[in-house]
Amino acid sequence: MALIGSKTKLAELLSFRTRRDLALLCGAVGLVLAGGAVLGAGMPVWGGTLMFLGSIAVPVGLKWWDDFTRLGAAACVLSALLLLQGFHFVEHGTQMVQYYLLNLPPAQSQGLISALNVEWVHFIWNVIVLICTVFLLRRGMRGFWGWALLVWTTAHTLEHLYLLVRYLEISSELARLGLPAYSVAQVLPGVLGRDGWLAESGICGQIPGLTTLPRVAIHFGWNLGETLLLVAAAHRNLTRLMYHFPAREDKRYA
Amino acid sequence: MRNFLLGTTLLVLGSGVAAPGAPEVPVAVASRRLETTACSGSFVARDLPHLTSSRQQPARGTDGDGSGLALGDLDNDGLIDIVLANQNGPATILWNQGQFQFRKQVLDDLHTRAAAIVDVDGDGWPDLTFTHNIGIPSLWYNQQGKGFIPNELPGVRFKAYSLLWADLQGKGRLDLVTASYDTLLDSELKTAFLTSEGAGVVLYRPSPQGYVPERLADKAQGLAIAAMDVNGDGKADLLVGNDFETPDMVWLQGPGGWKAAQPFPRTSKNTMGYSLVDINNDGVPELFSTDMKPDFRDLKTLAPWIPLMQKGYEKLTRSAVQRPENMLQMRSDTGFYNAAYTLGIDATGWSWSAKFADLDNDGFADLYAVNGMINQDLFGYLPRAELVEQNVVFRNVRGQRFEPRPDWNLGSVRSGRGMSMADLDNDGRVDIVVNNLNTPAQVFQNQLCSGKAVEAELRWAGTKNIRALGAQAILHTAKGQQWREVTSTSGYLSGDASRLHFGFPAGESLASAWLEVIWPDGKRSTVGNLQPQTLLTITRQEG
Repeated sequence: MALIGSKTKLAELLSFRTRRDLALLCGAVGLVLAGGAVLGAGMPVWGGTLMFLGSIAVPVGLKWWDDFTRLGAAACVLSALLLLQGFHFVEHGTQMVQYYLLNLPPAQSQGLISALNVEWVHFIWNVIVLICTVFLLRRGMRGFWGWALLVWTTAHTLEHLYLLVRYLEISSELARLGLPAYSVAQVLPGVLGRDGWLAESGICGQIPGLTTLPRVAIHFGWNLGETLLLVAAAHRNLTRLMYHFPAREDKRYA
Repeated sequence: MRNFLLGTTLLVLGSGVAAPGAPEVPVAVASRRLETTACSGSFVARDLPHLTSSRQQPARGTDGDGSGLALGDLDNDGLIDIVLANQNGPATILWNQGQFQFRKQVLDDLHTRAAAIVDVDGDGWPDLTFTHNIGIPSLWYNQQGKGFIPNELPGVRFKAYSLLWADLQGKGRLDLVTASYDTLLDSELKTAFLTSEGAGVVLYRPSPQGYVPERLADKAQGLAIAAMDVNGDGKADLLVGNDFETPDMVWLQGPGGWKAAQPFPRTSKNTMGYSLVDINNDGVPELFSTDMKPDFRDLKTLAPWIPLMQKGYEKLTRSAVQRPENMLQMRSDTGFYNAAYTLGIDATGWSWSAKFADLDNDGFADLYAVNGMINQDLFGYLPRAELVEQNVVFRNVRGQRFEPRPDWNLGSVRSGRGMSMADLDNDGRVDIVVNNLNTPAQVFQNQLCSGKAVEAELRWAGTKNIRALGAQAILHTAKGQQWREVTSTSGYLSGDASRLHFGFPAGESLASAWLEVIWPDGKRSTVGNLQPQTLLTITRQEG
């Protein structure tokens, strides 16, 4: 098994392997359909993105099943986490491009799946990442990078918990005033960033970046750190994760 | 009170004591003692017998914007009097009788917005000028402190909402700058305004035949006007702060006239008021502009703002010059930059008049902002359509940051609009007067216990700018340089007293301190031998 025992084969873990042709085909079909729907029929970008994701759901699901059956639960979780966190990071990168390069207002700097850019989704996703991180730590993804990832992910989740609580409180206040839900209530400042708790508390004065950046940049930073730490931890511990739950013999990996 | 003043007056005629940088212009200095009064550690609020009201209940549109006020010694008795404008009724003069007792006089000038106390004719008796909802500015001549008679400003013909009197060329004569609030004119006059010649920003130069207008802009949403040397050439430049999407305007004064400029990379979006201040005692003024931005910490306060914030969320891009927040324009080698956020004074609420003064006499200028809004169109979902917000005060901590001081007891929730500050009881502490909307006006007596003060009034005898509008005074001490300027108006529609106030900590010696006066024509005088708790009247001996 080429994959097992190697510290440099993270790309292989993420590979679709024998299902690569299916993945490419589904991806191409998805791109064509989504592009046509967005550009031709005026579907919102988030709709087209979901259409694309739906089209590759089958090969991705099969790939993860392969990971589980061949490499074990830890490898499967790591594979899924890398892919999904990678996509999540792309979302935040897209927001940065929209806000900084395309000079769009925040309401239009929502990434690819803008309809899902809401506090509940962010919070639940970060809880999932935290749970997966704990699971992988227990399965051997330790060392400096593993623990650093846990600390980072915990802090990130706490920030989203703070954001969610404030969102629920402000929603309650808006309802009390008889006002509808406003999308801006989904993107209020959190702990870090401009107008955030740290800046307003005055406990440490203004720290460039941490108390000055807009939310879009702060959360890009959170996810950049999370993705890099995850990749580093996975890279350093891939062997251990594989060995922890040995896969069955399979000629396809020979 | 007159007896108190006479008993404590000490006249010191002659030139001020020479100090480093010998004076170019001799001055006569009269000194009067400032008597310390009660000290409780906070401000004490009192109602004043004046009510500015809206026409509609609740107010709609600009009917909820309220009126200003002005402070100045109208009868030359040494006590600063109060003039309160009223958008929906007559204005009020409150003659200061001392010890926070006021005698009310109703002034038959209706629907006034901005107020300024300025000695327009240079006779030594300050006159009253007002702007109106839809009219041209009015003038009331001072009858030697016994009352006022209406007069006109010949040649002043454009409708105005905000105004500024200033000696822009330093020639000892007063120019008038006015700006219109076209939103109000549109809503009140409708077609008549659209088909008229409009208003905009107008600079009026005095001449023997009357005021000669120079129209700098045809349109404006001008709520604030300031004169400030923007480009450091020693000449006063003009700034007009506009509401809504209309950009703030700057004109630089040069040999060829007035030239439009854009010196600020960022500006407030809805500029409600301007205030000039030296935050860090480096002897150089900064420009503060007021806008509306909520406190994100308090969600109950924040919630009513959400519908308005939604608009910014949908429109405001990263590169937008206009931002809905207070700005403090500070100078650097590469130009101006906004320091309000760094200092913690970018968000003061739905702010109108915001001004700086050394409220606690610690040597640094503190910030007070009055807040609130009543508008059926904007806040119909709130009780009485009113956004109730506390006025806020921030103490300047050594020029490094600002800290809220709710313990100073200035957190009124009466929907303040106009506001000015001056020492009303001659105790060396700066008091505050607020013209609220639909609730009585208030005075806040300063009873903070710390520090001492030196106050100064400047006289430029022999000119039409007898109160030396535009003169700068810098108090040089071992700890820095406190910069002040004599201005006619600042903040939102509010006139300033011509008296300058310098605070300093009680234990600090003034032995080596000296006061530098830079007159509007650039000439300088110095005054030394300063004593704590004194009011200096500094009269220039050369015209």
